[in-house]
Amino acid sequence: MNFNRTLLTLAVSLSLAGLARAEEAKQQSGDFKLEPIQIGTPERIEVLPPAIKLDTNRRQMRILVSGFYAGGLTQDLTRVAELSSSDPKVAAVHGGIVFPVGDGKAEITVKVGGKESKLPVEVLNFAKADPLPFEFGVLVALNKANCSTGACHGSPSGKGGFRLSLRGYDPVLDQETLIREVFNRRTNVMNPDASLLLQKPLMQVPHGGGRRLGKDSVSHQMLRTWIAEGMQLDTATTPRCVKVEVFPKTRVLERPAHTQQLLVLATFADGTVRDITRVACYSSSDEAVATVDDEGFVIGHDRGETAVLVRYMEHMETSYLMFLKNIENFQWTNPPEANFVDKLVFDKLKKMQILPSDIAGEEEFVRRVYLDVIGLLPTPEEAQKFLADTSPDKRNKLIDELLERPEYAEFWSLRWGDLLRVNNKQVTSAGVHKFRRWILAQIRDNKPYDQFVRELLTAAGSTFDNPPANYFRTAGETNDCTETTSQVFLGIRIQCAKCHNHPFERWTQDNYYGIGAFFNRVQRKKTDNPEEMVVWIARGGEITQPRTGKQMKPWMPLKGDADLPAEDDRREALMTWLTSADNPFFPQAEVNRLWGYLIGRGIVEPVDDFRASNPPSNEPLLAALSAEFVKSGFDRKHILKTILKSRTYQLSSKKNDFNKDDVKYFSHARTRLLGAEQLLDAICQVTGVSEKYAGLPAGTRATQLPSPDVNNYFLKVFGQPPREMACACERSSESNLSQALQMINGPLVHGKLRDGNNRLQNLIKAKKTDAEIIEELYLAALARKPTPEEVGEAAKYVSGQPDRTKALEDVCWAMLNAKEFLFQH
Amino acid sequence: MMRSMPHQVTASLAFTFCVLTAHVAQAQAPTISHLQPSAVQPGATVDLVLVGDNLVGASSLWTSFPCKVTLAPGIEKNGQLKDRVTFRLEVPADQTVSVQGIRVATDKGTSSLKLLLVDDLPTAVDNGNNKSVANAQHVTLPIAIDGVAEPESYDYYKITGKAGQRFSAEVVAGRLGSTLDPVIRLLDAAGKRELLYSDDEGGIAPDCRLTYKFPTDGDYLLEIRDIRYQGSGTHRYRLRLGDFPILTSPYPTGAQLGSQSKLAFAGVSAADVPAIDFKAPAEPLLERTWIGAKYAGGQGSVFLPLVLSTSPEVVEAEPNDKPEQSTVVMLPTAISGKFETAKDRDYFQFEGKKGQRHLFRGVTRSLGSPSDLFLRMFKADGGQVAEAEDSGTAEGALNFTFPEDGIYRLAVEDLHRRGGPQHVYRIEAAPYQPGFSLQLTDGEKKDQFLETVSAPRGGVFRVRVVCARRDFNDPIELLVQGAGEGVKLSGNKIDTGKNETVMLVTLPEALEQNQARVIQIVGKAKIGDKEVLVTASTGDALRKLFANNPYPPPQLTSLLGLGIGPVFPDFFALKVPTPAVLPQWVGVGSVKVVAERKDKFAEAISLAVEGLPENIKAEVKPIEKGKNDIEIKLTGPVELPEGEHKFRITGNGTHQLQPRTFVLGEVVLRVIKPLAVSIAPAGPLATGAKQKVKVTITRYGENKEPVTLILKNLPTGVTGPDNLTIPGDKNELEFELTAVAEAAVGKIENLQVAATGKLKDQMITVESAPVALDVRKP
Repeated sequence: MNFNRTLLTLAVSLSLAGLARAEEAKQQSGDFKLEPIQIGTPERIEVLPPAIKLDTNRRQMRILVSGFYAGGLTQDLTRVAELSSSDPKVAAVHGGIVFPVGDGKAEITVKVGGKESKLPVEVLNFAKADPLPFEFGVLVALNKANCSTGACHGSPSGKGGFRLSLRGYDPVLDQETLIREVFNRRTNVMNPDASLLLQKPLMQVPHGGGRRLGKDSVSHQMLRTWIAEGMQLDTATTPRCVKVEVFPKTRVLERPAHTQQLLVLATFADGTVRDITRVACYSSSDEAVATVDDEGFVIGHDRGETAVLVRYMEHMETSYLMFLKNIENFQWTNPPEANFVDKLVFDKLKKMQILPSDIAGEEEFVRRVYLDVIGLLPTPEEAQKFLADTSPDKRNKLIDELLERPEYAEFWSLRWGDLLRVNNKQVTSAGVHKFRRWILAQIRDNKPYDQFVRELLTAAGSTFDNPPANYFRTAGETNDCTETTSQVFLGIRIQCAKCHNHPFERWTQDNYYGIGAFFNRVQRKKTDNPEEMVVWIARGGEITQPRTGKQMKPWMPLKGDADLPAEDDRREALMTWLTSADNPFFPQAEVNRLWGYLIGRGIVEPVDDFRASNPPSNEPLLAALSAEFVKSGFDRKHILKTILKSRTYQLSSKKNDFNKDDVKYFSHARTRLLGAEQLLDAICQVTGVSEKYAGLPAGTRATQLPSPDVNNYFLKVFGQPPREMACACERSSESNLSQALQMINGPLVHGKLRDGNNRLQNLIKAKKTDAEIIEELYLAALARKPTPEEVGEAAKYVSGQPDRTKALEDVCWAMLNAKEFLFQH
Repeated sequence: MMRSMPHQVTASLAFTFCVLTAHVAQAQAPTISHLQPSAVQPGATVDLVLVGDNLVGASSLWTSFPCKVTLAPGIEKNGQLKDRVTFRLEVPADQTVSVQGIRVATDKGTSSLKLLLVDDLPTAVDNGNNKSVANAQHVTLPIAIDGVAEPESYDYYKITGKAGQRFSAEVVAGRLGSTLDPVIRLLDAAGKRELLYSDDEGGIAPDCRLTYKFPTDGDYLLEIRDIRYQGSGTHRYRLRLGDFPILTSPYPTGAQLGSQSKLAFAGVSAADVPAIDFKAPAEPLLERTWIGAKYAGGQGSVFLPLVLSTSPEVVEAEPNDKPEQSTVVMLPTAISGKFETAKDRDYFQFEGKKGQRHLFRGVTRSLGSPSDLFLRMFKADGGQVAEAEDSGTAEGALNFTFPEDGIYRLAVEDLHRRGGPQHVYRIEAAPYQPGFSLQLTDGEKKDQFLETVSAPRGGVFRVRVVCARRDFNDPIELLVQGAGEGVKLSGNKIDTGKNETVMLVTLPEALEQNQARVIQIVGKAKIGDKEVLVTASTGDALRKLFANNPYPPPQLTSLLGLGIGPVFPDFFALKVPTPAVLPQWVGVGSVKVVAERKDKFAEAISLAVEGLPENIKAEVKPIEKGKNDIEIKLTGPVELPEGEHKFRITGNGTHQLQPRTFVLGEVVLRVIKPLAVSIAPAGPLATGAKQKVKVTITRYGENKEPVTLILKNLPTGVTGPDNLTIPGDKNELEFELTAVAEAAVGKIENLQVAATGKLKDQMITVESAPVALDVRKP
């Protein structure tokens, strides 16, 4: 090689490190602001709640007003509706909120856009004392003020010597902290305003967290009231919240409509329904699309979707909002739909006014599908064969063929090897081969996914005789089983709930240990062989929730506690639930993962982080794929084919004016750096020089590696995961400078280019012309023939160099460094 | 139970080799790396090549099965090569297919145990060029291939099958002591499609096996490799291919001694294998034996262990999945059962008497079953009263004392709730007996288990016998069997309450080299009113030797290989550099004994003195560890006459356990006068000049008197001083001789000096030895 290759680097990615990030970057325009509501003429209005009952003087109720227009449009009219009370001595209205004034009945009139609606209101027990409760008063207030977050006093060690339980999950601890600690100085019942609990957030005394409350804030008022009322504690009869609802649950707002007031109602154990809109906590899943304030008022900023998560102690609810706007010159082109995937993707795109890209060309398709299905580039012969095929169904035929190739199982078992943490440290050197081989056979034989998971999750016996038992070797104790199973097979990251109720999800600490109860009886023992382990299931044994000391029953999401026969292997009951028709998590987690692998981004992203605050970008698509998966008998190949044969998968990576900003609605193919193993195999394929891995037969490809323990620096640099976490996120897709250096100057690439028996040398030995060599290199690396201009430029370069071999090496080097080679597109 | 001594066959050859030191000889004991072939066929005469090291002079082969053995004739330098030797084995036709053992001996010692298969399949050899599908080695069924796995590689074999033809493949590797962890795959002819795969087969892991019915006529490929792609000379396999059944064990799993029984089989092929008649031996020679089984008209056998028991054999009676369906048995008994399906649980019912203690011992994996037993005991009302603790590698045991008279039920299930034709189990239920078991470890390194010991001919070996007691605390006497008459033991008793002893075994001289042999170490004790003999186990040593075989052949686990090397060479000699002296009138003398040590021998040498005159005594001390000499003090009466006596000094030392005696005969003791004198002129004496002369005396005893000197034989014209006297506190005197000018010139040879002194009132005169004096002209 020589320095003249720099002449060729026009087509080379020297700024490799920045490319992927650039592809990932959101390009939100943020062109919406809070603007006046154009009320127009609604066909009807809807008022929530339909009736109001205020059972103490502490209650209040926000009124939500929605307008429904011709053409199906909807708009939130809350902030412009006129509200009036028929009897101000019973109920008064301020700022859209109804307040009690005295016992009695009245009527609230709502007027807007020429429409009128009335709703009854009843006030009871106005004069009766209603001390502020501790948990659903004080702790709610601290939550609202963010005092008990993980970043503040809710961290395990607290802040500034003041420690609260995270989000108030441990009221007993918080009572002690607030009332007893620091010589009772935090709360002063004789002089509430002298309480540190109030003075600090008001910054009346120094506070590391700064000013957190205003005197008129709802949190301050609640805290002060509780102190002034004698800091009463909850009793056994104090009603707890049993349900939270948010309104609207979903809404599509089309510009000019772009705001939405939320109404949050809590049902308590005593049957009362209370407006908690002002005390609930809010967050938006996509603040580029919409933001939400402390009063539950949402402002849309751009077209798109967001999930507004509403938190009220351990209760979580979500309002899904879509914001639309008309895009100039947008016209739906009615692209053909290959199957339901396209219909559902296109429905969404049409609604979002995003035009999908054109279908990918044959060359783009063949390279993409080879890489996605078998992890390898098509050989020049394979590429040419496909390109020369004129049959109309050749893409589908190729998909079917690829899914039957052994390389398919090898490549996809690599991915499962990541998730199941197949490495020497976890499962020993012999175990790696046995476990990987088992995984490979499952994929090769297209074992129905439910059976595959059943064999894993109910495995017992020797990790050698029965390799899926390694699942319980890598997940070496109950908590690890709980977390791994939840994340891998339910898409739920439940780790947080180990120590406290999940701060951003509905999962509680009870739930965590309830799932753990399925695995608590899993035992492990050694054998004479130091590498072997025997997994067995004790006939008894219960798990205890460490905070409450309560013995937990097995618990299943959406089902609740399970009463199981005493000696049963509880894991079987878990599997029965996992695969039951009314469990959406299990199939959704897998189809989403498959989608993510093929498309480069999950419908839920990250693929194993399903939560209400991280909604799918296309919920109907996820549901339909999931239903199809179940209907097919958990046939993964069927789902892969369904996706691969869709037009959506086969869309070009070239964007148009309407989808250039889209990163999550699948309007174009996603460009992404090849995975570490894909890339190394691809380099080997192009150069014709295989890589040797210690302890494995010559010719073993990177995508065939049983574990990452071969210690290949190139693979590590390009993101090969060490397999220490059961998380797809462990495989890095980030670009970095080391990668660029490896490609430009690295010994691996250099060695293969200079190998005396590489593809280039063999072509030269075969007396091929420069043009013929260049064409084969293009086919090998890019699965396409070069354009005449490309041939001309490369040939010109070669002929201008004194050493033809070195010049051709330069061309090959430039090919390997081209974005078109390095990226999946 | 006592076990029999194995059959022993020796082929003798007379070779003479130089004698090397003992530890070198032990290091040069023969080793066997592998056998070619790895199996012998019943009824066949097989030339068995032992490949290894230090095989020069190999002339004796021990086999654990009856077999005629000779050094194979017609092979150039057979028996003289370092790396191989070939024996001809004539295997009896009725020898059961089984795993057996061999050891080879030279005059340097005996090899460790090497496992050998008795196999009714013919043998072929891996051609070494079968590393790819394209180069698959074509073999004809039935066949067993002896192969070796190379690193990062595969071996491929091509077989031709007919549609519907039954086919089995089995790798015997770990069971023969190989380090290979094999994996086999049955592939289509193109090597693309995997038809079957087998890795660790429960019960025989890490070995593997499969059975298949060919769907079509044509070729098929069998791929074999190590699971980690490892390979070396120790990664060997015997790949059995053919029409043999895949079975787990006989069913019932045992036969009562002296009984005639019908044995069926358990395992995936069991339905197609006819039952066999089996006559159990009457005497408890072995706890287990081997039996073979084949399909009706089949061309090969599977080898299976069968328990020989003293209890009646019972088979579970299905259905017995519920307590009320329990199979009723009487204790003691041996139960055979199967977990036919997953989650199968079998109940057995029996009567128990209050206070009776019974041991319910599960047996599975050592029989070849993959089951891991979980045992529980219930009372008749269903209440659980005991549960077997799962202690890792054990096969499950429940040691239970009945709390009251009544009906009890034992529930047996697989710990992992598995089931299937291969899941067979055995429960041995017998009254609990106090007792003990014995293990053999190295005398110095406690954790080094022994399966072979070595000693020089007539020499000593040391072994640590470790005892595990079961409610038995009394002494245990140890015996050695199989080493012939004249064996001497020391430390052969494990004292009350103790758990080990280091025993020294001195072999009789008559026990020759060049004989491969095994011995047994047996513990004898009286338990209650019964004398009990327990053979020490080599099982742990064999498990270490054959790391991939957790259950070495039971008939070999009580046999300790005994290697006999050359007579241990001398490792020290004694000498007396100067004769012993005992001066008259002193009564005290000494002799210095010097040890010449060899071969890093540094230990103390004890000495004994014999043959001195009766009135002379020696005060003998040993030559201390690390020292090379000692002065022995001699005492006798003062009036001893001058004279010379002869006596013997005997030294005894022990090096590398081997004792050695060195006799220094004809040691001279001189009884001498208690004064000695010598004279030494400083040089020639010139006429007319002077020359210095030095006289030195040696005083013995407490002699502090002056000594007068008289010069004798001075040449003419040469004079010395008058009145030469050495004072009492001196031992030498220097003076001058004077030669007149006319003194006679010439050299005389007899210049002497006479010294006279007094000791204990006795005047003693001695003369020096004559010396030369040269008188010259100046």
